Amino acid sequence: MQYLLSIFEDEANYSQESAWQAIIEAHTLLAQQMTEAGILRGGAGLQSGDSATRVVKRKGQQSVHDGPFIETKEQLGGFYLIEVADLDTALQWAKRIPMAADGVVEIRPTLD
Amino acid sequence: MTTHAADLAQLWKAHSPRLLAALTQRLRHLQSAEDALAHAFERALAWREWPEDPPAWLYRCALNAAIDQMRRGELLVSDEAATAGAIDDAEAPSDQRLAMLFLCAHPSLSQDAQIAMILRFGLGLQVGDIARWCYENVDTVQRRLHRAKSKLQLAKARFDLPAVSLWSERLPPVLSALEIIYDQSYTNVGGGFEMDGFAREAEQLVLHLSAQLPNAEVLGLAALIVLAESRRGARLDADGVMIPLDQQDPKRWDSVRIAVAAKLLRRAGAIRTVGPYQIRAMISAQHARRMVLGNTPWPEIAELYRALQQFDDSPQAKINHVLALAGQHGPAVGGQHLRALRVESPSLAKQLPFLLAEFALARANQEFELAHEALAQALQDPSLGKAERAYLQQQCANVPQSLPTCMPSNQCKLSRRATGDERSNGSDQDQASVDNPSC
Repeated sequence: MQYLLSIFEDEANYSQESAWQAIIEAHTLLAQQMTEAGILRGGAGLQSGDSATRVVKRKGQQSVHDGPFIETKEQLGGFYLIEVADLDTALQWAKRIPMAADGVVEIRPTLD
Repeated sequence: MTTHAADLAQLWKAHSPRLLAALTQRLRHLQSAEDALAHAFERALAWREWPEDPPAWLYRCALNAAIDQMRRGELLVSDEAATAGAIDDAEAPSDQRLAMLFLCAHPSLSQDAQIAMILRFGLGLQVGDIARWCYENVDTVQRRLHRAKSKLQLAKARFDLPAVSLWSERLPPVLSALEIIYDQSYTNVGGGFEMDGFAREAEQLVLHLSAQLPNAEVLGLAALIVLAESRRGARLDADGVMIPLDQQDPKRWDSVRIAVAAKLLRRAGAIRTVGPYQIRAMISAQHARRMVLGNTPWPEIAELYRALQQFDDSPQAKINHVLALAGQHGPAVGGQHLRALRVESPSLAKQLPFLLAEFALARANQEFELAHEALAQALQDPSLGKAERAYLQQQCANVPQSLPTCMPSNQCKLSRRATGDERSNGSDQDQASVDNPSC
């Protein structure tokens, strides 16, 4: 089963260059381990929320807006798509996702 | 209910958790296992003659129904489920039960959902009872169970018994659910509600758990439940009226269970971490010492309740501490502590445990008006079990309306009968009257 692991963190946690370098290294290592385990199907880190644009459809009308979908401190910062046997295994991998401080990883199975 | 239906209901109660656990392991699908088992019981309604091994019959019938459904394409389950076999062809039944408990306690579920799932699927309780005990309405619990089941299925949770190293994170809801059963088996004692079976189930499960996972709190809860079970035969009089712990006849206690509990507590003690279940079991074990000592060791109990406060700041724990102090120093001292508690938190004074303690202490202190007042309020509480209610009603008739001008000293013995059972903190609430007040 494939699971999307979405990572939500406060971008301010990585405003220091050293913190940014450290998290990039940690993610590179994790991605490598996922590849070795044969489970990595995709993933990416994202540019900051400032770079986001939304296309919104309301009452049949489309409009384009500046900024991310949800205006919260913790923003979607990246994701992994992994293929593992079950939720329990996905959970184990999600717990290994590095974070400099507070943050959330959402685990969602994909449709078959 | 016809006799046959009643016998089937009995069969359901005794075997459905185990059958459901086995079917779930086999089918890897909770809803299908539940439906298949319900189907098998429906078929059993048509029995003219009981099969030799009714649970095995039910298991085969349920499994065949699920497999038929699968072949018709109505049910998506794994291939391994497609071969029907005997009930115990895979793991030991008790391991299947544990696998079910831990599946229900899956960390991806909310705590409320975990507990509802364990009570429903791990222990076989009805939704209505779960709602009542968790102070929720039936629809809420129904929805919660439905959502939890479909989440485990959709997100593909692992159905196998998790590795022992993963047990500890799943323990808290399992222990909470077992504790709810334990509490309710007290409240409902003799209440016209068949709790005995569930309490024994809980006892078996917690013993199995403690044998496989020597964790101090699991051992503590096991000891607590075993000690509670040791008093089952002594808890009611011939009329079904509750007998408070300190008035039970120790000869009617089960000394084998008391010895088992002592052993569990020794193992827990050797682990050298202290937790609330362990302390509550130690309190309960102190009460059991009356069998040997002839009286209850109140100073030790009061000390343990003091230690318990560190983990448990519930009103019940505070009140039980006061009652233990009353046992140690007399009801006058107990009364002072209780008044201090009332000042500290006035809302507490309206709750059942407080009212029962107030009744016991007021009577022991010959404040009969106050005693009657507390009793009248306590009797209005709908959560009182039937046996406890009967006991309180009996007491109501026994307590004088006001202090007589001349009361022979043996009348004071009346005050030895006070209220309370052992629920919630493994202790009684009737200690108030250990010292006879002077007349």
